[in-house]
Amino acid sequence: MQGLPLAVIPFVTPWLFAAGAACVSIPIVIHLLNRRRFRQRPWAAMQFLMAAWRRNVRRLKLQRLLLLLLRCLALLLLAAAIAQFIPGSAGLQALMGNSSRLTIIVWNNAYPMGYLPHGGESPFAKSRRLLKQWSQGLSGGEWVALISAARGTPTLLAKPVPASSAVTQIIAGQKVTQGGLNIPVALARAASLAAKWHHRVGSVRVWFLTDDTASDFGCSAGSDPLMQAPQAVTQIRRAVRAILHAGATFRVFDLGRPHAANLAITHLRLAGPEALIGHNIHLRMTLLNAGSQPQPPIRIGFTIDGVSAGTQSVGTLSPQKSMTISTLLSNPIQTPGLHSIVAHIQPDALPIDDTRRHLFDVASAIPVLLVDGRPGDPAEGVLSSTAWLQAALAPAARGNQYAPHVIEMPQLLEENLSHFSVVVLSDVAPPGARGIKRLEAFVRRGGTLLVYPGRQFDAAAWSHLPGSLLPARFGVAIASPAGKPATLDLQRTINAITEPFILAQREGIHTGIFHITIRKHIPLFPAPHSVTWLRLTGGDPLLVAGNFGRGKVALWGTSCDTQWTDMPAQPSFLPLVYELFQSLLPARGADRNLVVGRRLSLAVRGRAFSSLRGPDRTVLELRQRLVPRGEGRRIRLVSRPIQGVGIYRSADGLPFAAANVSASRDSNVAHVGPKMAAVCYKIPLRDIDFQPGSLAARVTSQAGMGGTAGWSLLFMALAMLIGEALAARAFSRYHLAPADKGAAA
Amino acid sequence: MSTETEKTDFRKYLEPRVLAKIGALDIRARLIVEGLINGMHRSPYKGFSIEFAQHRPYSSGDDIKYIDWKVFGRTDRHYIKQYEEETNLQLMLVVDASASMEYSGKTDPVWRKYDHAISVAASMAYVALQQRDSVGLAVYDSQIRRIIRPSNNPRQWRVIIEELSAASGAQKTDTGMVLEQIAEELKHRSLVILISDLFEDPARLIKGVRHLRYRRHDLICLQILDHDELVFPFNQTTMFKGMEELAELVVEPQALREAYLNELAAHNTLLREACHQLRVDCVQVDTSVPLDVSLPNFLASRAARLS
Repeated sequence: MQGLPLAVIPFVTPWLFAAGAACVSIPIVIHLLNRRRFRQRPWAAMQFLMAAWRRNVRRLKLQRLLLLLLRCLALLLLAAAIAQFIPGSAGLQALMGNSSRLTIIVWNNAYPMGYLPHGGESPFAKSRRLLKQWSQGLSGGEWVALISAARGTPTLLAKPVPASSAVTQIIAGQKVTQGGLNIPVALARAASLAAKWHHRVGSVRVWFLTDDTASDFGCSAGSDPLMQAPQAVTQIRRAVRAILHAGATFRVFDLGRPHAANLAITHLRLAGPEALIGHNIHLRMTLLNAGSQPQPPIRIGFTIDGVSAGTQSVGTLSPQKSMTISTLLSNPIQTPGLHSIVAHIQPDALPIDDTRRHLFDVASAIPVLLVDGRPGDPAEGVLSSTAWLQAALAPAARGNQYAPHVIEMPQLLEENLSHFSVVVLSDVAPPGARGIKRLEAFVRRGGTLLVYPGRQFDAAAWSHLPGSLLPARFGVAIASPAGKPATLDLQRTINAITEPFILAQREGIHTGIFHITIRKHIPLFPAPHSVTWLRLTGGDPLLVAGNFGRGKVALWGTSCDTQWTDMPAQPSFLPLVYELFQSLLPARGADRNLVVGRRLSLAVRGRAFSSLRGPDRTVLELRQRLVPRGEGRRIRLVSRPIQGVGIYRSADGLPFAAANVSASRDSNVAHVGPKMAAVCYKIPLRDIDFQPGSLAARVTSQAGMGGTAGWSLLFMALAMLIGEALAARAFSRYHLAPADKGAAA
Repeated sequence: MSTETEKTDFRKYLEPRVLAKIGALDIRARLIVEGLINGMHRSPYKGFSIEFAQHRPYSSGDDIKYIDWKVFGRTDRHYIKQYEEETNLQLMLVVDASASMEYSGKTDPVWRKYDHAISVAASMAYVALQQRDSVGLAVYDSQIRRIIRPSNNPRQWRVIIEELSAASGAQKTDTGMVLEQIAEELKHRSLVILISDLFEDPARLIKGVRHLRYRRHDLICLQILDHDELVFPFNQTTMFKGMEELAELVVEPQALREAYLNELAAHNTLLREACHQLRVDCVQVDTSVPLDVSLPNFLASRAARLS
């Protein structure tokens, strides 16, 4: 309030202030009327009255003007105070002729609200019951708006409507959604609605019916959201502040359960980038124990394309902890194309996150394009780096995991890069501007680019390539002293490779990687956002990787032939290459594996669909958009936000997309408690109604400007009134002259 | 019927309580008038109007010439003859009957300042006549409207009251000029009682007082003021209309109260100081204060000062 001009105070009820401001004219009117309405009185001592008037006429006029101003100002401040801190009590509203009220219900209908303990009532069912009771008791002049707080779900009653039985029917017909919760968006929508409507109705109030779980505030149970998820709390507070500044009151009805327990599968994906025909399926999944008690050993079942593919048991899971499990399913898939895998655990109180599905593409091999800048030099009798890589990627005649295709540099501009997952530039000159453009487009779409230097590698020219494709600059080549080749320093490596090979080496298992010696290398100078995966013993980065678009680019500091290092000749070369590729290749199928509330947006080639069949015979309509960019012409299929979990199939019955709940974000149903919730919303604890028996229309207090400014203005108005009274008394006080006192007595 | 009404009208100016209280007091002249010799007003006409009152036993120290020897002869005891004391004090009541005296206040709208002045005059005249003093009357506004020569005839009181009741105020006041005329009219040294609100130019008034004193007349000024004029108790916006051809004024009384009272106090102070210098008693009479309170107080204090 300090220094805040009256004109910019966001009044809770500006109309009331306007009416009060109009009342400022009352003293002026009274003043003018008084000048015309007076009593007549004959007066004998007129000579003294005239003398007094002549001597005081200027002072009297000034005092009259001052009193008039004080009275006007007092009324103005009183009006401002009332308009500020009274959000619109029913009595006052009725008195002022406007008793209409808008109640904006922000309804948490996300899937955790469906938490159903044994023999109990879910928070959503309870909120629906309370809302129904409340709506049935509404009288005339009440307006209602319903906002869904679940992510990607439409607003239930976006435009406020008068209270009626139709509103009750809408409330009664609602079911818990399968979407996650997005508090800031829902509250911001309520704030926007309140700002639009608070001039049209007498008062606006926002009620948030929720369960106040740890997931709501992005934290785990028992932790401090302000410390663990400050950004999430800031967004929520900002939305609440927007509601209060819009002139509405805010109240939270907390329906959460203090001792809720839930076990959820939060992630399920392939451990590698792709599944291959005839290979075992390597899965990685994460379990979360969102309860307050340790979970006993858990049994996980798997099905592939609807057929049971085995089970796995895991040990005890501590409360509020998650566990990542790697599973190898020995059920090789023999047909290429999209396949689905489902993992499930024993259903609990929140069964929707006990099953998770994943859609993946099965290919015959991963296509790799090897660009050979220096094809084998028969005169020197050595293999080129490309030859070493080709041998490593395709060691056998058939059944290889990778399918390398070797070209020379001039052919790069003609090759269709979209047919490959990885492009390896080995000891090549920098591509021209067109080549760089094509490579950038390739990586941006999700491809992987790997660059090896070599003898004809122009480090300076590579370092000055336009754009930010490369994650590091190249220095001048350094040769190690004779007899003292450099080796890998795994201990000092900030290692982003999490594959078993490197992990095993770091855990002390001999893999032979220490036997690799590097005689010559080009120092790498990583860009700010890139990551150094491997270092030499001298500290120089040897392998630097960075993201570019949806793909990755990795730069080696040494060659892939035996000129600069003996790495290709070491036994560890093969696993090192494989694991490097596994780490660099982006997970395929991210476009098809969605969470509820997200849109499907997928570029397809060839066939296009107008709709997909979802679970429970639901239909997901698709819009088709032509995508002119990229390699060839594609059609992008875009859907509205997905509303239900399950496998979505095309018209021919093949799986096309999978949807799961946002379990990693929303399944922690542990209750944070009203006190912590009040801190997160930054509202007084009395504005949180924990486990309410009814949605009583209790008067809520104003946070922020409302209370402080209202009381301040009220005190100012009262002070002004008292000052006015004292001034009036001082101006007209009667003092008997000392000589007259006795006589008058 | 009309006679009965007139009697009633006369009585309203003379309250028994007032007379009972001031009857025991006398109206002493400050100065010795015409060589009073005996009693309170020592008369220059020795034994002229001595009337027997009663006998009392002789006590040592009494003058033996007042012993009634006839009684001694009959009773063989010494008795002193006592006589009713009688003076030749000439009292002149000068009553203001101007328009300003017509004012009646909020508390008793019927009782004008002039009514109060008549009561005072009637009371003083009654007492004086009871003391065998001569009482005269002058009623004035801007000039003397009616003058009655002093007389000690018992019927003089009724004449005075009738004259006072018949007067009606509609003119401005000029007390100074009237006092000068009175001073010339009175042949003997007299006690003049001026009954007025004294709402006029102080300089002109003081000039008249000085002239009266120059003629060696004693003067008592009784300033009759309504309680409203003393406290100015009005709250609502009021148009005050001057009663002696003065202008009209619309004011908020609260705002002007203090200034008005200051002006009135300054006027009264000026008059009192001038009267004090001229050895004239000047006293304020509030119409809301009963006469049985104000008059005895004044007369007692005056008697004490003169004795």
